[in-house]
Amino acid sequence: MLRVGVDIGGTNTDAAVILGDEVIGVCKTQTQDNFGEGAKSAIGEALKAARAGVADVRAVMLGTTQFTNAFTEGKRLQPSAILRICLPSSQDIEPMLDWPADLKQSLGGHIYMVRGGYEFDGREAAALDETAIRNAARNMRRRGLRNIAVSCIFSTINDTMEKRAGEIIAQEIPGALVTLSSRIGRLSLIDRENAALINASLGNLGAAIVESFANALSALGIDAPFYVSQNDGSLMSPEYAARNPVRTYSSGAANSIRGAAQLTRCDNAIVVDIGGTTTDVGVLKNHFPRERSLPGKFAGVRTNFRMPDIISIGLGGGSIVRLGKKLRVGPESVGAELNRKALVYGGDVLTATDIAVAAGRVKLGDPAHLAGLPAKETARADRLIQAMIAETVDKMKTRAEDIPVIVVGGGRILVSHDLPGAARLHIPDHAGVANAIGAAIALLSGQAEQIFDYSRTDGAEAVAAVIEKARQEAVAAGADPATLRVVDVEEIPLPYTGGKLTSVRVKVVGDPLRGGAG
Amino acid sequence: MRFGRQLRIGLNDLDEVIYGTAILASGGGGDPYLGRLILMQALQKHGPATLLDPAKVNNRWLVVALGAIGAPTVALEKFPGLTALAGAVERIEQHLQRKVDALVAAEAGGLNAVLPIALGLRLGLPVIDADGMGRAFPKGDMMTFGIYGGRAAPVIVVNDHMNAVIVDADDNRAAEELGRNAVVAMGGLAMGAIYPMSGKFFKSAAIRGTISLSRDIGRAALAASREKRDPIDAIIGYFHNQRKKARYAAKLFTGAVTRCQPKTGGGFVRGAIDLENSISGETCAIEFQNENLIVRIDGRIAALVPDIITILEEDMGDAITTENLRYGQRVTVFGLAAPDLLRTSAALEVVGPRAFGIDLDYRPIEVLKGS
Repeated sequence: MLRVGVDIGGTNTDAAVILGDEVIGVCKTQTQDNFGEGAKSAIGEALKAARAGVADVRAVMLGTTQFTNAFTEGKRLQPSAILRICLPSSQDIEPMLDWPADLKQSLGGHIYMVRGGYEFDGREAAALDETAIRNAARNMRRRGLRNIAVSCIFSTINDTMEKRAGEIIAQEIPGALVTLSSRIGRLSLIDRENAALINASLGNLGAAIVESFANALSALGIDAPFYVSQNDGSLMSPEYAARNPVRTYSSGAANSIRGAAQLTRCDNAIVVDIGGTTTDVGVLKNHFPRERSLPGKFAGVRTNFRMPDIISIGLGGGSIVRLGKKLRVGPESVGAELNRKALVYGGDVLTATDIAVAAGRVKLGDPAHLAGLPAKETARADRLIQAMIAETVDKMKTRAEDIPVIVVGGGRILVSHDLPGAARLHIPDHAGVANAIGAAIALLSGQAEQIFDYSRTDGAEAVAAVIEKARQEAVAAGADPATLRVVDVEEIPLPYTGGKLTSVRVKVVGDPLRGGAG
Repeated sequence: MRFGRQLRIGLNDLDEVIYGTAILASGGGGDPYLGRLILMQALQKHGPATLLDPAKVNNRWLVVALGAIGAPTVALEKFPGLTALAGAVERIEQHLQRKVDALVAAEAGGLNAVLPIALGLRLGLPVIDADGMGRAFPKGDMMTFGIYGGRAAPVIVVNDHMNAVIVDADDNRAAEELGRNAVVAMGGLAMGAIYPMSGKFFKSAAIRGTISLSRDIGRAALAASREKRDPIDAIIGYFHNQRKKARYAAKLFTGAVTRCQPKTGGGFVRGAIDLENSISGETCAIEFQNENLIVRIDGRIAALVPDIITILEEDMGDAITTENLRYGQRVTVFGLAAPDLLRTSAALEVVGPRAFGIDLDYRPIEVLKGS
């Protein structure tokens, strides 16, 4: 039985067909405006290459950055409201306080704070003020708002008040799209609330994209279940993705790291993903991407999703090269127009791809177009490109040790096999579609985090309770309970609490349930 | 901008002040991000803040030190509240039967240095350009106000429900411990008022100019970043170029976190951070108890408490608080000589290495450099 991975990026749509551990068919096409059409043709071609029929497909995994683009370009954002359940606490930092002014304006800055919230252990800190919520919801309705985010103090520990607020809003605003922060983010009210608001502002874009992908699959005659990749590289059901599109925005990086692992059978490595405009360098640690620990910014807004720790530099196959005394490579890029603008393709822009061809590393287009270039200069540019990559790889290393470097992505031709500092360099077959391969082999996951008073609760009991919570979340996401395994347990004592409070964080993963998410 | 010796802080100075306070905090002092937002909202609402030169403090004034007490992780959900902090000031007034005349920060940290400024704006009370540590320490009895003879009690802790615990104890250490236990019972975070003192005593014991120093450090570093120079070098240059107030400052190590292990024990989070430089293979080990205490590079001691040891994010030079440090982070370890008031024999008894269970005599960072 086959798994099909699809990656719909800004430039390319890739598909990969996997049988067991083997990649048996791949396809790379251009992303189309109607991206369902592009996905359809990519999947069709990849299946053809694999000599497989649609009936053999057991599951389809979709990775996409469509939602990210919608938000970062500020297009199609809906006016949205935030209801924070917090009083009498957490009022000295209002919602959206440090958002970029233009984004805050496109959402309208509709802020409501009401009484309620929990303590770190899930006990009620203040009773929920349902009347205030009802009044807020009526005010939202008068303002014509339908996209509502709800946050609450410690809602990741106890989500009862957020759920109740969601019910009241649904009663008062027919057709409201409500995003509960506990469904979206982790501990840290501001970051979680921001993510919920971003999600709310995407309106029904998530549903539209999921539907158009579902249509593409049924047009192909595939009736296997499909899943959508999220930020940490694990999967979610289409229903979940439709409601929580913000959870997909950095899935590409995680997928390429996991895909690189699959292609090389490495468990630990530095992964260099070179695209048309940027190079992302991440770390594969015990078969999973190493995650960043500090909050990241998304279009200038702080969020704290679990996502891979990545360094990006402005270097890709389409990077514009300036020779001479002020030698420069990137960060400007011809991007998707590489096939027309690069010298080897008869264009008039010197790109990093031309430098790789000049270095004799790869045969592309017509090398005769490069005849007039000074060889010394192009060799210098090539050395600069190697140095840029080597330096970034070095930054991601934690130890002075010999760790393999895996290069993937369409721009992998830029890398020389004697990259400085990379004792073992892998550029695997199918490296150009590592994203789609990573999507195809992705797992479902569940995460939970809770704070305990270790002077009252036994540590082992606390960890067991959090593992159970994470397992439940994974099963709700569509994982097969029989395949669940714990991949990460963190116990972090909280400072300044007399050594009493400890935060426990767990992540579990599992395979998709046969026959779908149910 | 300074008018005479007064320091004005407006929205344009916000990033600089927060950057600088976090550098001084030695890994503690609360989350600078929360401090930044709380001060931002207060400045937006009330306009710029004016900080008072410590020399202008009247001898007969009642001055009180303020700060948030508790778990930074809890503060990420339940933000430090100005209403509760105002409640702590009010309780001090009720308890002592007189008005508080001026506020001061308990410690120099990304959150705690700026909370009194935000409260001062709300209450219309003067806030003094000073603090009680010149950095952050894990305990209230480690403030210079205690070291030089002040009485911590009555210590007041108040939560957002305006529930208050008033601790009255002659022994500063007992007052601190009882207060901290109350904080855990209050949900892991509360606002505190401590060391109500006369203006005269304040002037004899305070670390002066903390907020203006923070602003100056931040200004130097952020200007360097904008001009693509190294922000940490700019900070070091700043300290070396202060004629009278020059302090030794240095980059002690650059590398990645290879192990980060917090452990509880003795009532506080104790732990160790290991770093390695992936090019030279050099290693660095840091021990911390909330704040960073000792740095060893390839086994050789490079800095000891109370000298300031702050771990900075490699590129922008932003300080990372201990609880935010994780495996794989690329960092620079920054060392700074402690203010003179922390280096006296009286101070070293309370905040020297042995006070933290490290069986070593204190040696200044600038002396260790040559050894």
